Amino acid sequence: MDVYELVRGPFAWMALIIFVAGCFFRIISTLITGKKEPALYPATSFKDAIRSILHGLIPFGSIYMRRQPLFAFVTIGFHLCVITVPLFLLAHIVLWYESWQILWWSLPDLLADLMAIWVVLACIYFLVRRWMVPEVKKVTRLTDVLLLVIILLTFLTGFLSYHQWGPYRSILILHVIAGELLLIAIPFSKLGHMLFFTFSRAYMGAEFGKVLKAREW
Amino acid sequence: MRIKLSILAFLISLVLVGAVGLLATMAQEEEYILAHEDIFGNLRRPQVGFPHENHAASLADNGCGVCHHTPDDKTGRLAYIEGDERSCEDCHGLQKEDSTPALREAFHGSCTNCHRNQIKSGHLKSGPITCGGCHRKT
Repeated sequence: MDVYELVRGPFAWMALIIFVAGCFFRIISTLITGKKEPALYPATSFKDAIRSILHGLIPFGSIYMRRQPLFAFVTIGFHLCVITVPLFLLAHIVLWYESWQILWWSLPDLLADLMAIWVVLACIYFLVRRWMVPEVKKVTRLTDVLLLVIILLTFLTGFLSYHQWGPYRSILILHVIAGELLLIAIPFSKLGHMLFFTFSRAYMGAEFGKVLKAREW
Repeated sequence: MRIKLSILAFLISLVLVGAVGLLATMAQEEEYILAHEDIFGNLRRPQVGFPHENHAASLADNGCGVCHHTPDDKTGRLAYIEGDERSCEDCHGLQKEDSTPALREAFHGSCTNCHRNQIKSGHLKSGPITCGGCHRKT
C-alpha cells in the first residue's frame, strides 16, 4: 500500500478514534473517581471557580503570568497558535473537504507560516527552560521532553512541507505521523491539561477565594 | 508541361500545409497549465501542470466522460457529450453554486479522488495524492 495513503487513511482514523474515545474515557473516569473518593472539598463556590478559569484564560490575567512576562508571552502565543493553526490551515481544510465535504474559513498563508514558526521557537524555548531553570529541571521527566519534541516535529515538518523544502513526500508523511501521535497523546499524557485545566482551575479558585480569601491564582 | 507540373506541385503542397494546419488545431495540448488567476486571484499554491495527453491515453477505455461532463439541455443531468467537451472553469466558479461545486473543490474532487481511488484499487502508480504532488514549487 502507498505509505501516504496509509497514514492519511487508516492511521488517521485510528488516531482520531483513540483521541475522541480517550478524551471521553478520561473525563468520565475522572468525574466518577472524583465522586467516589472521600476528598476534602474546601469549598464549592461557583463564582470563584468561574473567576479562576477566566483569569487563567485571559492573557496576563493571573499572577503566575505577570511574574514571568517573557515565559507568559511565549506560552500564550504558543497556545493560541497550537490550537488555531491545525484547525484553520488551508491545506487541512482542503483535506477535510476531501474526506467529509465540510468547509470553513482559512488563515492567510503568511500568518499561518509565522504562527508555525512561533510554535517551533516556543518549543525550543521550553526545552531550554526545562534544562536551564533549576526548579523546572527538577520536575522534568523524559515524557515532558518527548512531548515537546513531537510538537516541535509536527510544526517543523508542516512548515517544511508547505515550502516544499527537503524531501517533500517523506517530510509530509513524517508530519502526518507526528500529528497523529500528538492526537493520541492528548488524553493520556500531560497534554491532557487541554481537557482538565478547567477542573483544576475551578478547584483551586474555589479554595483560594472562599477559604484562603486570597487572590493568588 | 513544366509549368503544369509546377502548378500541380504547388497545389499539392498547399493541400499538405492546409492538412497539417488543420490537424494542429484539432490536436490537444500535451500539458495544460492550471492557474486561473482570473478566477482565483493571487494563487495561494503553485500552479498545476496537467498532462492532458497522459490522461487521455490512460483513460481511453473509460472515455473522456470521466472528467468532461456537460449538463443535458432537457434533463439537466450531467453527461458526456462528444464534441461538447468544455473546460472546468466554464461552469465552476470561485464559489459553490447550488449543486455545482466551486472550481477548487471540482479540481480536487476530480484529480485527488480519482488518484486515491486508483491507489485503493491496487494501481499504485497512479497520479499524485499529496498537495505538493500537483502543486509543485519550481
